[in-house]
Amino acid sequence: MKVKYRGKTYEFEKGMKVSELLKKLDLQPQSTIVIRNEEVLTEDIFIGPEDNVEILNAISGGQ
Amino acid sequence: MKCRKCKDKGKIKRAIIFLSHHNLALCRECFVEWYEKKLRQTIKKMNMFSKKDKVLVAVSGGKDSLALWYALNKLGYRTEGVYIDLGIDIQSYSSLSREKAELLSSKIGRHLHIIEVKKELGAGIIKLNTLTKQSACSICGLVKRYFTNRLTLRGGYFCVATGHNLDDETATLLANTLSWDTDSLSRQMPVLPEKEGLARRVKPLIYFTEKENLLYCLLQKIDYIADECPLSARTGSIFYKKILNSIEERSPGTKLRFYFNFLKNMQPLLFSRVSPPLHPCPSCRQPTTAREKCAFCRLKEKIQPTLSGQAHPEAS
Repeated sequence: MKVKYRGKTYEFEKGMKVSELLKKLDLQPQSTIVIRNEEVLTEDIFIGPEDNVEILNAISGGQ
Repeated sequence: MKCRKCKDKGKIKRAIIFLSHHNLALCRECFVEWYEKKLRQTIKKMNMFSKKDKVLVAVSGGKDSLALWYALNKLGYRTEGVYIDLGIDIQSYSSLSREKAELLSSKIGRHLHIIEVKKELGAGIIKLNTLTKQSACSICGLVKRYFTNRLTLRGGYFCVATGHNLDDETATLLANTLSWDTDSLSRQMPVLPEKEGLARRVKPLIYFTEKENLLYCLLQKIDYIADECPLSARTGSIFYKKILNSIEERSPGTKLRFYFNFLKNMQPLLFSRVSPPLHPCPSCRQPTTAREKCAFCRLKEKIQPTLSGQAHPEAS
């Protein structure tokens, strides 16, 4: 699985649920949107090992 | 996960978002319907403005303010936009964000006013920061308030609407509470009424999280600037937003309760305190609590000697 987030690409061998992916990348569900083929995914959706997804950051402001 | 609204109508549709704070899963169509209905209700309930009023929407090129302008226009409100060009050339930030604001203006066919800080003051935010030693964020806030106030009053608008959302408001509320900044807390309202030369200011997106505004932009195909302002790195608001989101994950609805119960139970007590009297600034006539010139004119005075001594000011 290839995951694009903030200009970087992360690769994972196995498929997993959106919620698990966000945990692995230490991201909060409230501040992200996960997209696969222009489709917005909820946390319970399984992402297959061959899928490409993009994570959009929803949180703005200073660090 | 299935859309609950569709399920209630006897249909089955896949949800694209689960709003845990409302215990509500929604599909694309139902989310857009829910967002626009909630926006209309918030404006009405908080008595922000009506469809007869001319509203100036302050847009930054980011997802929140662009979602606001698009949705207000779609709902039939009379709007025009204003974009303050801060002249931030790092990563072409200002030109890219301005482009997004102009794109939406063309898309919805509404006029966009552009105010260029370099033209108005002779220097952009970065140079103002160097010349005055004030933080870029505090100068940015000052000039944005000044120019939007001036345009709202001169242009005969009923009010200026900004894209502040639930995450912005709760992060500010948490920061102000942790330092018991009662002056700032007393002014933290979704509607700041017009008074003595200060335009009415409203925040119609207070009910929505940043994620909801982002999703609305995606579904309505609104192009926004995703990058953060390169000068905002040390403002700390993301730190507070992350803390609040961690609490929200464990206890959904916390952000809504924190903010709306503050407005209901605490803010009226703070607002009833006597606020310092306002005087017209002897230079620009905009209101100020200072005995002398306002903060904006003092900023101008600080930079004038340096800029007038330059052969080629930044504005040229």
